[in-house]
Amino acid sequence: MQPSVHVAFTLRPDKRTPGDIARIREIAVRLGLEPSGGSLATLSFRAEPDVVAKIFKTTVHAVPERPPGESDFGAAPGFSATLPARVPSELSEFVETVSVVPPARRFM
Amino acid sequence: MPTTKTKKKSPTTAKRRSSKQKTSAPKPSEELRVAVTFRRPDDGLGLTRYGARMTSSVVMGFRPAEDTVGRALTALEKAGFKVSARGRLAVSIRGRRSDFERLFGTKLAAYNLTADAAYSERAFYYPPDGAAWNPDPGISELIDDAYIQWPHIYMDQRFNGPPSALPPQVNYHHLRVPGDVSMVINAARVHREGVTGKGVRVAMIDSGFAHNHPYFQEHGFNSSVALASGASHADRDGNGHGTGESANLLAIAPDAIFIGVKLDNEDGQVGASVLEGFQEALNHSPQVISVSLGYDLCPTDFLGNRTSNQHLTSLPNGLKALEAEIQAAVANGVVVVFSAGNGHVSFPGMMPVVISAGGVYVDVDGAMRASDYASAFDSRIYPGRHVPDCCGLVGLAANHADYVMLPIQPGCEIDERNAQHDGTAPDDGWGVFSGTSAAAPQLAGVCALLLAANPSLTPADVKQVIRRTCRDVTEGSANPASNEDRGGMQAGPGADGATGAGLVDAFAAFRQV
Repeated sequence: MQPSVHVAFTLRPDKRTPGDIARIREIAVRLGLEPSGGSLATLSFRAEPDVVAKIFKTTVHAVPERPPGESDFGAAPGFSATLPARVPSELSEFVETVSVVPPARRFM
Repeated sequence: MPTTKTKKKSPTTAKRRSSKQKTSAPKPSEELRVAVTFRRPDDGLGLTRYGARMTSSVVMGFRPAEDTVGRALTALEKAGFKVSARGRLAVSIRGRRSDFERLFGTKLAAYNLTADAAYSERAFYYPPDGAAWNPDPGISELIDDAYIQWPHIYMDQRFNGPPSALPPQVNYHHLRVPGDVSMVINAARVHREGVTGKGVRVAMIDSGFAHNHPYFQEHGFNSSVALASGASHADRDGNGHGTGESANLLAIAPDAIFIGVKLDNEDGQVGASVLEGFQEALNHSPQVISVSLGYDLCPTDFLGNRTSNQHLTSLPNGLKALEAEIQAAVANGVVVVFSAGNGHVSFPGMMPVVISAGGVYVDVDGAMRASDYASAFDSRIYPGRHVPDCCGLVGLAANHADYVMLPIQPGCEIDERNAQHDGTAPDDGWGVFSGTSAAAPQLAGVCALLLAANPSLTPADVKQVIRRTCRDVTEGSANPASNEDRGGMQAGPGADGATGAGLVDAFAAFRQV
């Protein structure tokens, strides 16, 4: 089972090479994150809430499943951060921002 | 030996994995559940070979001798199987596919089961028609036969058979796919010119895509499904959103190469984020990406309910990575379309680089007006950015936006929920819904037509052509919930607050490329 918090790194523009991306993933895995995606400008990871709180000096809270309403079909459950996540020193050379990605709504 | 060289018959109702849906086929378990039967001690006749009607008085005659069963189980365990249950007439065993194939001299094939019933598993291994069946003599002299057990059906759901490829009748003005939507957007005229989106790669990121629905099968769309990280079951859509909205896109660009990127997980685990979906979509080299999901950028409580209508003035940290990925995709030549929202102050629909899809309602007599269901606002995060750019077809608030009849997985959340007001049944595989979630894939379909006609167009070119060829909409107003506390933006002659440039006109746009 994958960990539940969605974490995303926005990479510095000059650090989007395959070599740098491999290095970032390696550091992230060492920190306790599980890679879950990546593309042109960002990398995604999963981690448990306590791991996210410890690594990124933020607190995360669970966002419950949002039921369908009049204007949307609700949203899946997920997590959101109460404070901006801090980029750990090991990653600051490569990573511009760290985000805890909240669940999106399905518009009707 | 009754079990020697028997040709196994394949399941008649199971469907073999389609080559077209390679990415969406569920994977069968390698562990098989097998029932083993024995021969009658009196005459050696196998239980499964008894030709007459089995009765309770006859059946006990097939009770095997204890020592025969013991020897058979020893042989089966030696071959890698484990006994999972033992009855008086048969024994249940479990084992790996490779061990089964070796012991019984056969080759199994993967079968997918239809989504029409709640099977315990959606795929399983079974001998195909005409498969070899040459059991090891050491085992065949001890047993009657060995049968792989089919996945069972949970009977808590009513089985109605597959949904109809044709939509049900409802007694109010609505549009059907593909014909009505294609005609009103003026895409049918583009199709008649031979341009149908052929070869253009379009990705759509959403809840899921149950394209085994007969509507999609009958139209023969070129569709595949990729699972974003954490998503499950490529052939299911428990919510129904992605399946329905994808029909809008394929109504406009029926020959596009459709790549559905599924986000949801129906096994109770956390599915993929929109960002993970976007990253997965980019792995498939799309020329167009359509997304009918987003965020409402007003202050909210921890449940996501608005606490104020004031718009946020800076992008929350949690969305910065998604913003960066979308910017990079557009800079790399991908046309990205997002819904403007249904009263939401929608992000990423407000990003300047995307095409923001708002809503226009077209009456039964062809009269157009801004939909009061769709968002229209000036972004406070991106100064100078107005939402929407232009519009697709969206229903009216008074009618719950019930406007476009769309195919969905029977009994899914939307099928059940919308049945409360849209005139369809809760399990018929059809629903009527069209907020700006419908508008985005309609506009994405038009983008695909333009790229089919002229592949050298940049995302900026596509947006410019679509906007300058829209039909002007002069009546109505947009959803007031999206415009702080200043009322719904009004439509009027020329570009306006409610509809942007107006309703997209696929043919007029096509003529300019």
